[in-house]
Amino acid sequence: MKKIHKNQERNLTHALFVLPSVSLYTIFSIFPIFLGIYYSFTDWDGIKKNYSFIGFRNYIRMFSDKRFWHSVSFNLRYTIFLVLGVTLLSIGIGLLLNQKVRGKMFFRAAYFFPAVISALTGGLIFNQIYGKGIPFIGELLGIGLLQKNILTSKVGAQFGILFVNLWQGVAIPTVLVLSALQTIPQELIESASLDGADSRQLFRYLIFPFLLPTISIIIILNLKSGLMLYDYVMALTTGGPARATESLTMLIYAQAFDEMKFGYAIAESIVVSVVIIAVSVLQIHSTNRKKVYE
Amino acid sequence: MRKRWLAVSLAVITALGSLTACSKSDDTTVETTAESTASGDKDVVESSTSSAESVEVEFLSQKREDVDLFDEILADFMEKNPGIQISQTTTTGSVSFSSRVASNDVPELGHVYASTAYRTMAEEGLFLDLNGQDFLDRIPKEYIDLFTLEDGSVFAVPVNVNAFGLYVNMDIYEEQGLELPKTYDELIANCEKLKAAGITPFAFQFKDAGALRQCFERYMSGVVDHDFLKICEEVGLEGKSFGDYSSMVEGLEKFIALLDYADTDPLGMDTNDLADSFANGKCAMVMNGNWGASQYLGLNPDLNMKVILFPSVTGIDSTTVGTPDMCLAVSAAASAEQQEACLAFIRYFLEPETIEWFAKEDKVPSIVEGVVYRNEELKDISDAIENGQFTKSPTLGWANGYQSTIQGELQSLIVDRDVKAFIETWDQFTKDVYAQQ
Repeated sequence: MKKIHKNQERNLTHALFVLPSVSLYTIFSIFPIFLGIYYSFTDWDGIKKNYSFIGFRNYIRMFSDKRFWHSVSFNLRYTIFLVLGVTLLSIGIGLLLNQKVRGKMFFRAAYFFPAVISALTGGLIFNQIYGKGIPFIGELLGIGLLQKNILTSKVGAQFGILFVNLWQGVAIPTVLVLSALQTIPQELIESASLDGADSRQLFRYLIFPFLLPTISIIIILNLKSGLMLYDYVMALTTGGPARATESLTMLIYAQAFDEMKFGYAIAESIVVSVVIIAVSVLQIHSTNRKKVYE
Repeated sequence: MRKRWLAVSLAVITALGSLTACSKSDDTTVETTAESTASGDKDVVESSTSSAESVEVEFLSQKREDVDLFDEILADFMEKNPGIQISQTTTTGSVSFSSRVASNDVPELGHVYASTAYRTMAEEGLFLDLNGQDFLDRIPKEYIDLFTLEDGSVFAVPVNVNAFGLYVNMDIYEEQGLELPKTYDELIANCEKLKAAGITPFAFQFKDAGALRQCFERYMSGVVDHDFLKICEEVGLEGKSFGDYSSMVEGLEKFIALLDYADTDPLGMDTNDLADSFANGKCAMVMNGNWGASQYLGLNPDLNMKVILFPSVTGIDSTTVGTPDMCLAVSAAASAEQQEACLAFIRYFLEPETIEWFAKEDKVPSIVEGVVYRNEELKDISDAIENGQFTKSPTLGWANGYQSTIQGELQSLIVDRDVKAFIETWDQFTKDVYAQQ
């Protein structure tokens, strides 16, 4: 009886400790979510106090909205390139940095450096490089191709953003790959080598299976990052030229705050959220699988 | 299992929260953070002092270039009115203002425009009715009308009007022995001569979609067809096509033709790059509003420039095009003391000494009665406004959202340079936006 009372008291203490955080989280995160869901069923323009409940009309309209599908298409293409790029580059760089070479620590620091600056800062730096640095070099060397700002063409701008994202995005995955590589027992590699395995076979049959859990995390993190692309676009192109780089998050922002279609923009954000939820669930599932391997 | 479900639920809530909270709780940090983006769309600076005993008022300005001017004006006002404390929050673009409205947090004193969005806000009763205030007598009625609602209430007081023109580097023109162009053909002839002399005739800031839209709509309204707004409405509401109007086609073709006289890609430069280019004599001409003058002269005080009316493209009489620029509105939700403080500030701001000093520093033509200051560089534009050679910007009448839509699409015209294809797209999105009203 005394023990039960003590447990209740302890639970109450714990509850009181978490109460402030839970209250704040409820007010500032959970309540706006439900408010957002509610507004997605209205034609609220952000100004008028009188708005109508229009059911699923915003969601239905979305399916015939070319601009929305253009953004979906851009985000999907971008995400594929980002995931492939980050995964392959981080494995490649991780393998190279795992070699016994002189100045190993310097290279590791150099590859990690982009991770310490924010995406927006990185974007603004490259905005200057693309706009002034590279054209200046192009003029000096007389190379016509370099004299143009890459962000001024529809295709070039997409790759320009992707490059900056890869430059920054590869840093942490490289560290993850490097740490995964260092967990591979050295004796396994040595015995495989003694059995005559060449470097390709070593990678395919020994190293790669050990890297799989890490690769799965890298893929899922970058899937999310690609779908929620905003900072780089904002810093480099603000969605241009001619909406070629208008990502879903840029579209939501523009439609809410520039075009005053808050209800519709919130409906779009709900749809994007559902996709991200699916990815998040996948991420949690994948993380748990990793624990099983361990 | 329970833990897994808990984790999944938390992930769901986090993901939802990251995107759905762009409703009422958004932008609460605007007042106290200072951050810059590439487009400069959300630059916020706050300078304030407060006193527990004073009436505190927030002034939300949308003109970043005027931060220092208003700091000085506010400091002087507060010195003369010790019971009032006004803090200035500055933001570029209307995003912060609309997000403040969406979150039911209208600043006590706001810098607004005459566009449809602000009129809608006024119709919702967000601003105090200024009708009957003595200071309105000093503003021409035609400008007050832009802020007058159907019930006769006036939601803001405009103090100046921005205008658009062709900036010319007079040193380059004089060196090359060129005359200021009066027709489009003369302009092209000058461009050819400059090009032959190895001088870049034009530079454009079309990386900034907003600047491109501004250039385009003012060019179309001022020197192509003064009924440009009416044409947009006819296409949007009556099923017509921009291709049905010969002036529109001619205007588009001649707009595109100008791009051949810029040496770099027009989408490669933003407003700051353009300022650097023009102020340092790297190009002979730019198209811009009068707000550019202070920036160019700030970069190069010795710049010998002149702003003239852009030559007529279709044979109509050229006009400059603009909108009321600095327009002040008072929040209806502010307390009576705060509203009084705001009105006191407006009265002080419109005093001849203050407004004349502001006009001189800001270089935007004042519309306040009795303000005689003229910027020499902008004399032609100021004279044009005074002589009635002025067309109101179509942004004042465009449907909500049209401004943002057209500026994204216009970059296609610059990239593809295909007038026919652009007209098809233009027709479509015009009809779409107007259909949603």
